[in-house]
Amino acid sequence: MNPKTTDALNSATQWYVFLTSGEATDSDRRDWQDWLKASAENERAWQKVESVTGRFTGLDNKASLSVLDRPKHERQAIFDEQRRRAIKHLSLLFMVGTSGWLAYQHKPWHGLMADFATATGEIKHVTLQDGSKLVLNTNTKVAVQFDKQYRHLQLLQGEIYIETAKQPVEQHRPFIVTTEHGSATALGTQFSVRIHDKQSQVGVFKDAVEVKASDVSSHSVRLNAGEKVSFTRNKLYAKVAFDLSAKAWTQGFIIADKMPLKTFVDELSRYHTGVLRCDPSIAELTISGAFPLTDTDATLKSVSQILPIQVESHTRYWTMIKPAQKQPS
Amino acid sequence: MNTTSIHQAVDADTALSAKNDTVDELYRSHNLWLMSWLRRKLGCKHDAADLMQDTFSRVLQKDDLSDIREPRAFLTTIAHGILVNHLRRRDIENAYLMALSQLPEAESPSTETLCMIIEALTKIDEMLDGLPDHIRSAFLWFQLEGITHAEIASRLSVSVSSVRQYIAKALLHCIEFA
Repeated sequence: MNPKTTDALNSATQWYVFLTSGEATDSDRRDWQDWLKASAENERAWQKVESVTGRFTGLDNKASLSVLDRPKHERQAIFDEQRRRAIKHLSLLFMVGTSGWLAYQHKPWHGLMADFATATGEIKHVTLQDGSKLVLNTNTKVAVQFDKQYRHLQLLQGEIYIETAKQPVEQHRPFIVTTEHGSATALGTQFSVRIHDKQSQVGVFKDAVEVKASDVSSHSVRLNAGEKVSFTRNKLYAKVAFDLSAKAWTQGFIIADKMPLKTFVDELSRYHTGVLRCDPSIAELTISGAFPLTDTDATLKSVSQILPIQVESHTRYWTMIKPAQKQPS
Repeated sequence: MNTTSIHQAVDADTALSAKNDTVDELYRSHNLWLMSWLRRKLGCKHDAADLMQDTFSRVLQKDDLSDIREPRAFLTTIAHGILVNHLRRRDIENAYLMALSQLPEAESPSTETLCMIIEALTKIDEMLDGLPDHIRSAFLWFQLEGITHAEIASRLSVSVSSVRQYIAKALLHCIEFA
């Protein structure tokens, strides 16, 4: 680069800053035009400025900023990993998927405390030491604490299904599941607990469960089979009826009965690594049937044979369900 | 044998075929080694195979291969550049999809648009590489948020004239990269 070009470039950037400062007048802009015409070099320098600033046009500002303006350690985390040859972490990133990774980053203590955990798309069956059955749904973490007085499970994230084992009356220990929002005490029973959308939800399939929000010590609600309730730390919502097919996930299936496509896709996305979305124009289509949850790609493929939709994938992280394109007639 | 004088003597076609022979030889002698080098760096077989193809297609684009003394050093230099670019793109893609998933559905772009955006963001990220964080942020806010120099100044607790220096500096940095 010869010194003259450097001068032209410096002038060009100074002009750019000045012209975009909001302080430039018409006469300033005429001066800039004169500078531009003064030499081919000035013109080339200006083109370079525009080729840089032009790269930003047409980008989604908010999303782009949140990608490009991350702090340095976050932006280059992936390079550092590589430098340290921490290949394990990289493969973990892919194993748990992006959403799981974010949760992992934001709540690192969960991983340390959990006794049982599942990755995205994984469903795991466990028999606890008292013989109770525990099923972990996708992306779930549970800590187990059994002592002489209590059988205590702490749900840290995700969803679990429990079938409590019968115990001799003289050795009876209450079976309690807690979440950050409250607790569910089993009264010899089959039930599920889920943390979702900053709430917890308990649904009962057999017998009864007593549910309490953590901040309201005086208030609790008794749920019978076929009932569910949502609650936050300080609020218990009203009980609602609950479809018993909702435990189909424990067998690795989703059962849909005229389910809106959007609800179906939202549900499926819990088992899918990466983003899975449904175009709003087909959100209201309804779907019925039993579909496997553990292979979301295969399920989407079979749905695309039933409904007028097509599945558009951009890498394994981004899948859109769109209306099928009309065949040219 | 003096390869340089031979190359000067032959026509373009023969030079091309000599180059292809060199690439062929490079591939046969070192592809397994390069593959395992990439796998070690990436921890993924499929990505490593892709990057190896990219590395050799870059080698094919080189004009002159007659002077390679250390074939493995030569290949790793090229492969390293490709690897860094790949990691950058993957990081940006993940971060962008994550950002998008926070937005309402109506704003989801098509796959084609998404590809273009990720390509554009990767280029910008590459171009801003090496700038101090405050200068990078000032430039990005100005370009993407369209806020005034004064607003940037108050966010960073610096004077307006410093902000103007930052923007000018970032621009020059990007121009030099391009």
